[in-house]
Amino acid sequence: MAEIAITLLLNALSAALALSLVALGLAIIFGFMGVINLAHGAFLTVGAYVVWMVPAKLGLSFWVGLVLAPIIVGLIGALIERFVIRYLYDRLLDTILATWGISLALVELVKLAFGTTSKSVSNPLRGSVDLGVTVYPTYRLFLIGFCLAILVAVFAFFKSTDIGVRLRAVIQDPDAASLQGLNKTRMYQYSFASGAALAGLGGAAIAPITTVDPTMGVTYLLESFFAVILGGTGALIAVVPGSLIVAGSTNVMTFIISPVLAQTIVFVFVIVAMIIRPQGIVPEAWHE
Amino acid sequence: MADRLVSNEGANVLMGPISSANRVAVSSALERLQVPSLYASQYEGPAADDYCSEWMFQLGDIPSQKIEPFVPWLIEEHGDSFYLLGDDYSWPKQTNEAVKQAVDDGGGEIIGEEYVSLDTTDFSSIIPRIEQEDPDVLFMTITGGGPAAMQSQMQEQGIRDQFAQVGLAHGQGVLQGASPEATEGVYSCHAYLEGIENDSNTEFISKYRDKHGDDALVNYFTGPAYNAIKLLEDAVDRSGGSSPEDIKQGLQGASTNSIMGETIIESDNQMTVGTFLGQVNSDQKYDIVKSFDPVSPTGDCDDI
Repeated sequence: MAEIAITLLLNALSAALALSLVALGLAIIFGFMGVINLAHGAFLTVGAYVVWMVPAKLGLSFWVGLVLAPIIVGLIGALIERFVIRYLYDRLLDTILATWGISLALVELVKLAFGTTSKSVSNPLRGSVDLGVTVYPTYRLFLIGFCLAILVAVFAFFKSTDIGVRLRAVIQDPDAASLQGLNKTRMYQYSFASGAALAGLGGAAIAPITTVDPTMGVTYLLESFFAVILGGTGALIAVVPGSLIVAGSTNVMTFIISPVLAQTIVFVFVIVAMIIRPQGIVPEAWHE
Repeated sequence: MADRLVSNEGANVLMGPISSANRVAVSSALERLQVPSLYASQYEGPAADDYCSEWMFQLGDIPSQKIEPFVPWLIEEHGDSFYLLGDDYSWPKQTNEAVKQAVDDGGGEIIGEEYVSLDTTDFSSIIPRIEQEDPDVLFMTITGGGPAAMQSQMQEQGIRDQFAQVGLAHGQGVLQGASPEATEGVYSCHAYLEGIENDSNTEFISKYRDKHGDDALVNYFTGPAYNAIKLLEDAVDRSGGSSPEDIKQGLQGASTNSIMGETIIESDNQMTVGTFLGQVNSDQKYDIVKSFDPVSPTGDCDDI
């Protein structure tokens, strides 16, 4: 029993941390720019295709793909910001439509380029590790550590680095920050690109344990939104508890009750939480 | 959609759709439009609400042609405890009703039945549950990206050798989402598989690959779709016309001996067809293990 409990907890943790990474990208884009990015799922898909393509088409290792995925998706994000999103600031509804359109276009491009069949990203860390209480797949353990490391790095970046402080200044008061000589446009571009990069990285990291196909982003887009809404947009770190509840509890409950019921309960919980605490579940003290 | 194709584009016959949910909707439109459609996909058979539709010609295999011979074979070869895992919509649920009946008739036992929402690709918490129940056969009707993810995750958790795996929607094309080791040995049963050995199929595959390239996908949808066109050809020949009514009259009784072997539309507007049991090899293609004889539909639909 202890064995199954630990396995389930690790499953929940790996799913939740991978979701945190993706949801953090969404939260950065929304928190910093007020843009609701419906192309986030497509960014994740592109990241997964990069990590598939690097070994399959270029013959390089998975790890090269894992590094390239956020860079490539980040660049795509920067271009989209430059040529589309930039003209739509302060037009919330239009950004929703525009990002949805971009999402459809990206997914269709992926289909045109690589077809609609599923792709396999072979697991770079085969085998399992004996943890004493249970034996657990090596790649999932890596995924847990990797996501934690990236999350810590991103939060440290915003807390401590010069550019992170500037970005936060732009969020708190874009006009005042502009008057202080901060380039608002540049900061927005960085935000959109880094949010996209996180989605791409998330897609690449989960690729070996899931199915890579053109529509894989949809589920993650939905779950990321739930995680961000549940955690609240007041603080970036809120995506972590948000994701733990959305992905973690679905995972654990799936073992106990039926999967569909588990998902329904989580969705109902998110709706109730939104009504009771529209500002998010994390305490105000965490907010910026 | 059906309305547009018929009213605006002037179609005399439609091909499609694919999913059961769509078919039920299209069937009702066909009654109104008085135009036949050829539905060439495996589906739940007489359990479907639109089974006796006058205009929807069902040219895919049904449970009595596939599940009823296949399940006893599984019990014989692999054991009598079954765990059913499907997507949460009509086709998996109604197919599983047929599986449950067949397992029951064969003296087997259903020890688990589970549905996941469509597009689920994280099975990591369902797998320990299946492992705990320890079935002899895991019978899957998950679709889309599910099969590849499920196979990868079972491989990752090292439990693939504990029970036989059956995937009715584990088609060529979706298997490629998992590594060959994760899919080898999976069973499926269909009216058409690429590996069927007859002259028409060998010729068809070679022409198809010449035209569309060596890696063009051939799966369990390919055969019925091609066969449907052959049946349509016979229908037009038989009735001597191509109006919707002519096609409908011609289809009733149409037959062809093509890539799936002998097929005929005898009764219920449902094709009589045999099925093939396949097992995934190390190239992620199905090898034919066994073939089952054609089974006629029930003939329960009067007046069509």
